[in-house]
Order: sequence, then C-alpha cells, then structure tokens
Amino acid sequence: MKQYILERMRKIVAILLLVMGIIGLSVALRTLKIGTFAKPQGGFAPMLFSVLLIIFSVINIICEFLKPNSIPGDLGDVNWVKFFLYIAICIVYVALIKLLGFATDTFICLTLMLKLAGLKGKARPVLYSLVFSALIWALFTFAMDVPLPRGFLI
Amino acid sequence: MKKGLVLMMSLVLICASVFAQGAQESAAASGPWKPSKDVTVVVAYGAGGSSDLLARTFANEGASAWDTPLVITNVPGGGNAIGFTQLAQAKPDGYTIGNTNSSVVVNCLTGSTPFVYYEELQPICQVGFAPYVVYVAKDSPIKNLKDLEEAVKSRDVVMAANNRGGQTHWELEYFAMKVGADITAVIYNGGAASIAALLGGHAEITVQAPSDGQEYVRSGDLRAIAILDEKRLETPVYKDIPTSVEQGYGWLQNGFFHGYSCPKAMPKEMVKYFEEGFKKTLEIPAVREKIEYYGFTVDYKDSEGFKKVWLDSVDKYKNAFAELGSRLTE
Amino acid sequence: MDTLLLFLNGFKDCLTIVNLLCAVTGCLLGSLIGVLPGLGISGTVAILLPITYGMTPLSALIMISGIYFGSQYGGAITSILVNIPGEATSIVTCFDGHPMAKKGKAGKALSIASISSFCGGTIGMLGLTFAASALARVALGFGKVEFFAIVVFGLLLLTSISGKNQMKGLVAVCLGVLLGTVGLDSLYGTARYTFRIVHLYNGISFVTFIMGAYGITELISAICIPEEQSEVMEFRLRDQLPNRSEVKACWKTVLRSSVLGFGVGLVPGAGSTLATFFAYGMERSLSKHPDEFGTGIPEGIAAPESANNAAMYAGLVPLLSLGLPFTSSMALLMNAFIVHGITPGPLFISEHPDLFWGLVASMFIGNLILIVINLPLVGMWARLLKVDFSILMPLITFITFAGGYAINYSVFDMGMMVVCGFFGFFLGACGYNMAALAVGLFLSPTLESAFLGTMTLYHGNLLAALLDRKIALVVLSIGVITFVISTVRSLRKFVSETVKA
Repeated sequence: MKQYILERMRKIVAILLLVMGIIGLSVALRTLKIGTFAKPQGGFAPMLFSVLLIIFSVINIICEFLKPNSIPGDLGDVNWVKFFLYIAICIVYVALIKLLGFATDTFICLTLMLKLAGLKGKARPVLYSLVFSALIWALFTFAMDVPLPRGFLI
Repeated sequence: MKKGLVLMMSLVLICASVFAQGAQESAAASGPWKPSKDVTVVVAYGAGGSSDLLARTFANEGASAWDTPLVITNVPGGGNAIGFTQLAQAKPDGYTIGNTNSSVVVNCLTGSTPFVYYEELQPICQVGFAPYVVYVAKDSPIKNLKDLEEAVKSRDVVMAANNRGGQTHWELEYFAMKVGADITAVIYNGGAASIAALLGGHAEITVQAPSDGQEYVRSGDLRAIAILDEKRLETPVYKDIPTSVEQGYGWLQNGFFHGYSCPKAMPKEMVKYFEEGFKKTLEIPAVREKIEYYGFTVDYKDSEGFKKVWLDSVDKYKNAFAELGSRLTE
Repeated sequence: MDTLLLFLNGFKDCLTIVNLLCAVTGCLLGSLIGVLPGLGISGTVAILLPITYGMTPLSALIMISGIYFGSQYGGAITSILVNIPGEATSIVTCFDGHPMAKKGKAGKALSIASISSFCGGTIGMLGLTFAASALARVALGFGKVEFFAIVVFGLLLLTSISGKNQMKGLVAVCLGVLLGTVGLDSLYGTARYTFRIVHLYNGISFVTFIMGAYGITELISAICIPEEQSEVMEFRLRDQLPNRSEVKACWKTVLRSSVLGFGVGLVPGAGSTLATFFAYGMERSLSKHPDEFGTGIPEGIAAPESANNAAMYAGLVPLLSLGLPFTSSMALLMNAFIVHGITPGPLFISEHPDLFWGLVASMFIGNLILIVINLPLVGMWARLLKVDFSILMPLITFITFAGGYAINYSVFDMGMMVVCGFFGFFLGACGYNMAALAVGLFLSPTLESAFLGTMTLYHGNLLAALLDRKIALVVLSIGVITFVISTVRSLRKFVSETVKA
C-alpha cells in the first residue's frame, strides 16, 4: 500500500495542485468582486492567478502521466514512523503552547524530539532539553525582548 | 467547648477579613485612582513604526508624568485588527490602554474589521492632529483648487493614492464628483511610491500627510496647493499655503489624528488619570518636539472631545462614501 | 574633487572610538539576528532606538546600518550551513552554498560568501557615492508598466534557473503567486481567502513560509532520512579560504554581479531579491560550465552574495537622495533618522553633507568590520556542522518555532510553519522548487499592484501600455524569449526521454 502511494506520489501531487487551482478559482468567483480588465477589482488577481495555475497544472499532469511510476527522490529512504512522529510532536507543541507556556512546552517537546532524533539514554535528553529550552527562553525574553507565550506555566 | 472556640475564632477571622476588604475598597475610592503597577500600552503595529515610536515617546520622554511606568506591547497582525481586538477584550482595570489613530474609524467603514472599533473602544484623549495636504507635480499647470476644477472637467487627470478607498484616495474623487467630473486614480503601495510617481511624471496630483510631502515642497519637486482644514499650518514650509476653506471649497476637509483609547467598560476615574497624564506629557518640550517630528500638530482633546472627533468623522465618511458609491471601488 | 574631500571627511568622522564601537556592535547584533531564523531587524532596531537617543545622529545611524549589513551576512550563514535562507535575498545562496557545505567545504563556502559580500558592498558604495542623485532620478522613471515587465521577467527567469524541471517551476511560481494573494488586499482592502480567520488578514508571511518549507522540511529530512553526517573536510585556515583557481574563476563573477545587483537594486521595492536571481541567471548563462551550477561551485555563491550587498546600497539611493523609503527596512532606517530630528528628502545631501558622507563611510567600514570579524569565525561556524545532528536538529527546530512566533507574536504563524513544512516536504521531493514558490509568494503583491496599475492607466489595453513604454517592452520581450528558448530546450529533452522509455 505504502509502495503504491509512494510510486504515484508525483501524480497525486500534480492532481492536488490542479485541485488547489480550481478551489482558488471557484472561491474567487463566488465571493470576490472580479471587475474587468479595464477596471480590475480585489478578486481579479486571485482569479487570474488561479486560471494560470490551472492551465499549467493541466500541462504538468499530462507530462506526469506520460512518465512511468517511480518513487520520487529521497522519499524512498524516509522512515515514515519517525516522520509522522515528528509532525505529531510539532502539532502537539503548537496546540499546547497557549496552555503550558513556551518554556514548559518546549522542554517537554524537545525531550521527545531528542529521543526521536536518536539521542541515547533517558537522562541525557531530559538534561539537554532543560538546558536548551531555558537558553532559548532566556535569549528571546531578555536579549530580544520578545514576550513568548505564557499559559498556566511560563 | 473546643469546637465552640474554633467556630468563634473562624467567625471572627471571617468578619475581620470582610471588614478589611471593605476598608481597603473604601480607602481606594476616597482619592483619585492611581495605578499601582505598570500600565500596558497596546500598539497594534510592529515595533519601529511611527505609531510605535510615538507611543514610546510618551513612555520614555514623558515618564515623569506617570505614577507607574508605561510599558509598550506590540501586537501586530491583521493590519491592526489583532491589536484592537486584544485592546477591546482586555480587562477594564485601568492597566491596559492602546494607541489609536484614524484607522479606528476609517477601517470600519472601508474594509473588513472583526468588530466596529469606534463602538467597542472608549476614547481617552487625542494628542495630535494633522490635516491632509494636496500636492501637485512641479510642472503641473494646476496652481490651486480652482485650476483643479477646470482640469478635471476638461481632461484626464491622474492621481496617485496610497490605497483604494483610503484617506489619500477619497478626497480628490469626492472633489471630482462634486464638480461634476471624473479623475483617474492609480493605486501605489504607500506614500513613498505615490510621491515617487509624481516625481517621475507618472501621476500629476496626490493627497498626503504634511510630513510626507514637506521635504519635496522645500526642494521644489512638489507644490502644495491646499491644506484640507479650516486653519492654516504654522510651519515655515506650509504657512503660505491657503486652506480649502479659503479657496471656497470648505466641504473638502480631512485630517488624521493620534490618540489613546481603552476598553469600553473602563471606569471614568481611570480614564481621568490617563487624560491628565497625557496632558502633562504634552507640556514636556521633548515630547512635543518628537510629536512634531512625526508630522503632528500637538492638539489635545479630552475623552469627550475625542469621542466627538470620532463620531464627526464617522458621519463625514459615511456621507462621503455614500455619495461616492462605486467611484471609490472602481 | 569636492566629492573626494567630503568622502574623506566622512571617514574621519567615522573613525572615532565611539563610532567604531557602534559599528562593531551593530554588525555583531545584525549577524546574530540574521542567523536566528525568523528574527527580523525591526524589533531589534526599535528597541535599540531609544538607547541611541543620547548619541549623535551619526553614531546612531552607524549602529543601525551595521545591523542591516550584519543581518544580510547572517542570512547567508544559515543558507549555507542548513539550507534555511535567513532572508529573501539569501534564497539563491542556498542553491550552491548548501551543496558545497554538504561536500564538506562549509568553511570555504562561508568565506566566499563573506568576501563576495564585501566586494559587492564596496562597488555598491562607490555607486552610491558618485551617482546617487543622478541614479535616483533615473529610477523614478520606473512606472507601473516597467515594474510589471521586470517582475514577470524575474519570475520567468526563476522557473528556468531553479530546479531541473521547468514546467514544475512554472507551476510552483503560479502556486506561490496565488498563495500570495491570501489576506487583505493592499490595494482594495478586500479580504481574499481568509475564511474569517483574523490571523490570515496579513496573508501568509513570507518568512513564515520560508521557515516552514525550508526549515522544517530540512529538519524532517535530517531526522527522518538516515544519512551519514558529512565530514567537515578542512581544518586549516588555508583550506577554508578560496584558493587561487577559485579566486580566478570568481573575480569576474563578483564584478559583473555587483554591477548588475546595483542596477537591479535601484528598482524600487523588490530590487535586492530580484538582483540575486538575475545575477545567478546571468552568471549561469555566461559560464563555460553551466551545468555545474547547483552542485556547489564558488561562482554560484559569489554571484548572489555580491549582488545582494550591492543591491542593498542601491536601496539606499532613493532613501538618501530623495527621502523615499521603498522597503520596510528602509522605512525603519528612515524612522531612525526622524527620531533624531532629521527628515531625509531631496535636500538631505546638500543640507547635511557630513551626515550623508559619514553614513556612506560608515557603511564601508561596517563592511570591512564584517569581513574582519566573520572570516576567522568561519571555522567556528563550519564546526557547528560537526555537532551530532540528533542534538542539533531538534534544537534548531525549536529555535525556528520561537523565531516564527517572534515575527508577529502569533501562535497561528507557528501552526502555519508546520503546515508549510508538511506540504513543502512532499512538494520538494516531487521536484517542485521551493525557491520558485517562495519568490512567487514574495513578489505576488508587487506583481498584482503593477499589473492592476497598468490596466487602470491604460484602460485594460496591455498592448498599448507596452507600446507606450518601450523599456518595459524590451525587458518583457527578453524575458519571454529566454523563457521560450529554455522551454523548447527542456521540451526536447523531455520528449527524447519519454521516447526512450
């Protein structure tokens, strides 16, 4: 199944781009004022650009479908478990940041990510994460004067 | 017996704390309100912009007028939507105010805003005002508003505006409409680009803030033909430029203001503290100097006066935009 | 002769202890900001401005311009080391900078970037010094139509120099341009594709996109694709500097790119970014080994780095000679002037010659300081790559997140980064060039404004517009012809490849 999708990834992406163009065009036509060539309005450029995207995606799709299926570039070597874990940690990070505050959230997620990236041991990730999140927090708060998000904790 | 003692003691403690609380509140109510910790000033723009730097002037050079320091917090994003939203939703406890310029009225009438700014925010005071000025390119035959009237009636006049429907656009469209003609508006991205268009011969006329056009009038690259206000500007560069009222076009007036506001529910006495605080900062020469650098004339109005400015502007723009109709959007 | 005297006077003003200290501080700070992804100049400048109130205007301006130049160089550091451009002007540096670092020659890449930046800056400074007023007036002749032509030219050029597949480059540019329309329209105030999310009113920020599509993507690759961490090959200072043959290969590139960069940088607005692309494209077409571009050759770094520094000086031309700030960083610099009571305008140079020449001299000195500070540090930066990736990459991830937040103080931007990273990963793997997308995003407002302005001025008749403005016609034609030629070439290749299969 994974093989199947990976081999057709180029085609899937090409189709996805066409779909984006179509969505762009329909949303623009439905909700925005287009105007004319002589008196263009706010929706004119989105419409024009979506049309261009559609035209070129179609040509692109034709080119893609003429080529045989092959796994694109590095995608064959990707460790998909790690990939989705990485994305999951990022999503959790962004979701919890308003709740936990920057420093705490970074500490937790950085520990997880260090383990994900292959750092060995139990104590090392926690220790490094503590030091680094404190450093980043200090850098931005004191040196850059940027108010990092605060939740119940900092 | 022991239980009774414990019960008595807790009752006494509760009563004592209630009295203490009451005493504290009444003590606070007895004098004018003063903040006891830092006050946050929400600036709805990024750091380094003119609104931000002006706010910092009040906080830094004006520090002696305040009981506790003013701390500037930048809340950029969405134009000024995010900053204004945060200001309107802040606790009305006297510790959050925000800087406010004409966009508090204009944006609601011309663009999409998450809520009606001038209804959900309470004005504290105005600190500065500047009228808009009409400039023409140096080789344009137009010398005053009368010439402009004849020009728009007889030929295609090209005007440079900073953004459609904005404060640098509608005045001349309105003018053209009122005299029964039309004008071609080309939108440039910002004042610098509009002025560059006039200097490069791509457009003939524009409306800009007096500080933006000042250097070009001095060097002769632009000519100012009208001040869109009742009073002339006192500065050396503009003192000889007649107003639109003097030229007989008194219905063409517009300017922009800079001031401060707060959440709608903030109590009057807290507003009073800020009114007086800003009034005091405006007496500091260093503050006045900086305000003038940014192109404003120091013009203090208190909360009532500022509210009137807002509402008058709303009426003026609503009427003008209604009359202009599609001219503004095409 | 007069000019020379004033110039020397300017140098004299600069060489005081106080001013030198300001220059060094500014450069160091700027480099730091440039290296940290997402951190913009504006916040730091705003915070430093009150500190500068006590200084003379010259000292304040010296420090602030040091920050600008420092951040340019800092952006190149991240482009080369981790393939994350710190600024729009550093994107092209990634093309050859990162491959060279991957080959183990990171130190060499960094020193080439540093030296090219210095040379580009010197040539730019000469341009500013001797031709500021004249050039500024020339640049004013640039109207909407010319703008349109040059932006289209740039985008078309982009599709052929980035990546191997031109069609995909074209699609990427179109997608980028379309995504660039998201948000409040700067011309009409209409909300496009915002779906009532307030955070989208300002559109998809370019820096956020870069940090997602380049940054997060790169980080994902590093963590999830098992690969040997490349060995840093050189340790001796001698190996970290370009050797004789490399200098011989590059000096013409540097010269040409600087001049071109300065010229293109005069285009108000998008000048310096476009300059890097034009320089790279020009060098590639003039080179005897065009196919090596993109694999990590010195010319590929020298061209954009000298062009962007020269273009930075060109950006100062309208500010200092006419008082017109065309980019947000120039507007900030202008605020720095205003805060000290000076309003730049056409009379600035004649009324404040000491300030003008002091500033110009300080920029040269700043350039010099940058190279003096950074060349020795090149080894240190290169050594950074030896740090175990399993520690380095997660750390960079969260610094990137913090930087992404710092742009607009918005958690939404952080989420946007993750989304851009996720999609960017797949798009990049399938051959769609992220640089093309990024630049499309960046230039979208400019393109739209120029196109709509042209249409308004000429009542919808694009042909009449081009016939009226000959320069635009010429530029656009060159762009279209070059594009068609490379399309035909790649089409031929494509057909022969599919026929073979």
